[in-house]
Amino acid sequence: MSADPARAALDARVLAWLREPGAVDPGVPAQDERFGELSLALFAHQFEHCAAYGRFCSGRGRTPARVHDWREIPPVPTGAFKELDLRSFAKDRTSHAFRTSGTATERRGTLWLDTLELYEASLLPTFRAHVLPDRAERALTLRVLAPSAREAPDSSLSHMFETVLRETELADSGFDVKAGRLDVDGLLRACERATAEARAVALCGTSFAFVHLLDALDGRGVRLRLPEGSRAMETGGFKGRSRELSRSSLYATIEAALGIPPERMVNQYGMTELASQFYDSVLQRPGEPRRKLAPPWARVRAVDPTTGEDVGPGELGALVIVDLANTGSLQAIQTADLGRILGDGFEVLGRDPGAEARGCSIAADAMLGAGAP
Amino acid sequence: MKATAVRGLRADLEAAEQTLHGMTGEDRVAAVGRVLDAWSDPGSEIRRRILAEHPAASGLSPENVAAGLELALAGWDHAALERLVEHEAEGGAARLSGITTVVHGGVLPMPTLVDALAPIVLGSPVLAKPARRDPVTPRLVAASLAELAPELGRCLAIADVRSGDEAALEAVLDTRRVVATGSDAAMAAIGARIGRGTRLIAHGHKLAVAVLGADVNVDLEAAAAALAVDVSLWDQLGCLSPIACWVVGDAWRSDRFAEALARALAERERLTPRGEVDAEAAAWIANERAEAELRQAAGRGASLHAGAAWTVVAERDPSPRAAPLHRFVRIHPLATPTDLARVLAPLATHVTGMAHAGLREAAVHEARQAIGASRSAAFGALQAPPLDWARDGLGVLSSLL
Repeated sequence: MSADPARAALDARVLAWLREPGAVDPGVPAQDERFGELSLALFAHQFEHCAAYGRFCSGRGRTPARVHDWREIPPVPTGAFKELDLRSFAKDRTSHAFRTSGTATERRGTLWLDTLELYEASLLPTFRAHVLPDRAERALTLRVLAPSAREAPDSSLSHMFETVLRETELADSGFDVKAGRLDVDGLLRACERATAEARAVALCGTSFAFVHLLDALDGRGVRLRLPEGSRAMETGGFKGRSRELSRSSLYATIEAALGIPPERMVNQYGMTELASQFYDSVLQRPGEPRRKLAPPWARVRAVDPTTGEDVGPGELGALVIVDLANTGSLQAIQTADLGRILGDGFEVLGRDPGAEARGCSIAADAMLGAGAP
Repeated sequence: MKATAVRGLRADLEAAEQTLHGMTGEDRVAAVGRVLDAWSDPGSEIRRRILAEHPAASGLSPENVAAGLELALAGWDHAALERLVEHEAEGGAARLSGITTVVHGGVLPMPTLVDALAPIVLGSPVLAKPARRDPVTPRLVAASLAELAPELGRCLAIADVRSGDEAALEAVLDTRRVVATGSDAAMAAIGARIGRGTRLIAHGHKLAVAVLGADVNVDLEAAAAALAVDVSLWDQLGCLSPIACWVVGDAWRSDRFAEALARALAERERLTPRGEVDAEAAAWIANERAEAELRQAAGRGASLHAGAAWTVVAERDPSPRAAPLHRFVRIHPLATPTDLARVLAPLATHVTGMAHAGLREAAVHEARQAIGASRSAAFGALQAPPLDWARDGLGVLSSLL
């Protein structure tokens, strides 16, 4: 909990929601009033305690006195976390820093935290609800295609898995990336044990780690048939990687190599700048159309990038996320992704990787990767 | 269009090659020259047609297309072609054999026009794959050839293959040489697909910059008005539209120039409105604007000037930053013109054009050489390259030979 009494009071209200039993169960009311009230209180706090953000909002005429709806809270682009220290607490209270992925020469975004309590309290119920919804009735093993938090202390993803492994205490579970390498042998042995003991496997990791695993299995001529009820959870994309696969190709290859059907593959949408994560609905709500679901303490908007106003349901817009669990940094984040609202969830379309260059001139971001501030 | 249809087009083009080779170089130049004369004439039927059809396909405003064509095509006539042939193709004696595939990219008609006609001048029929956002220009080039130079036969065929149709694409690229414009990734993909007997002439990612020197007195308002022309024409979707301007001097001078450029872009918006911006680009612009606002709020430099359809960010730092295009310009201070090459090092080989003002001629030459630009011009004239401009250092005709 934060040392700042005002923040601590806010944290306590948010934590109470995050820890409510059944908070992310299907059919739970959205609690719009509760969300709006907490969001405005948090805006007032962040406006006051993050000076740059306060001036940014004032410049747009959005002060706590003039903002009466959470949708009016100015979002901060994720790119700003690469250059600015965006925190709503005193710098000397910083206890953790999570950094975005990237090469050694790239500037990486940083989420500064003075407490991990909200981060962990947010990630656990959503992971349980969307990756382990059948935990009570099925024996499970969780294998993670990512390094541990000890090996990657600034990775929010590693911290998330570390927390999940610690709190779920699933049998024969652990990390399968060690010293920067995928431990294929160790993973295969764990899968053999799970198969022998009829434990379903939850295989989790980055999209590119799955590609590494699939390549390794292919190289060995190995095809697995993981026990019934096994599932995969993948996150992230392929930016900057030497090989890219569409999600449908990735899922088809996972099915062929591991015996996990696509309807048991969950994509997680998350980012270092956010405390909360968003998961495909497929395991929690089988049979329904695939969409991403937000926990009730987060809201996702698809907005017209020019006006900042919500676009209609199903229309393409820029995704803006308001996450109450981001009490220590900033709650309203303008992502770099496009998407659309689908009923009670949303779909992320990202940037079209096959889009033809608009001209012989180009947007110079790719070339500027190493040198730009 | 399927692969079988593409192969049919190739068979037709092989027949057309006999016709082309039966003509003298002088005759081919005369025939193509008539086409260019029509395209360079603002009152011609072909100009009327492209003005009527291009904006709807490209999303650019009609006023912008009209202004861009008027500036760029003014000198692209028969006489210019004769000079080009004299200089690069032995006065017409040089000749190509086999079909040339041209994979068009982007939205600008001029590169499409010259890329489609150059092989024909040298006796090679053309199989053209139109760009997604400009299906109009290749079709109109073919129409004007048929109308104004029927003796060339059916020497230009349009291969409108669907994205993802691998067999059809393979058939398109199975020719003697491929001239392609697009992203670096697209060029690499084409390079990986073509056979060993096919030569690739690739025009990948390119961009332009601007430099405002302090060697001679400059009226900042007039300079800004001229640079606004370079920035607004084709909505920065051409490789000769500057994405940023480096202003020699202190931050006060670059800030004053940013303010003047903002006023000038607002005026250009009135005269030649910006065209459509897709959601992806609009989101990127919104993000870059918000980042600039936040940096300003954090006291980390940058001040934002923005209208509904244009953006100027006055930076405190000379290092280049992301450029989302669509009339989004950054203004950077620069200590001396000789610093430009160091500052632009992250852009490496991608700079193709440099607009300039306030620099002595020797300084222009030095800066252009240092950054590797293949074209430089005074503010307002960068987007009017001559017909014989060696884009990316590749001769219009000589690169094909």
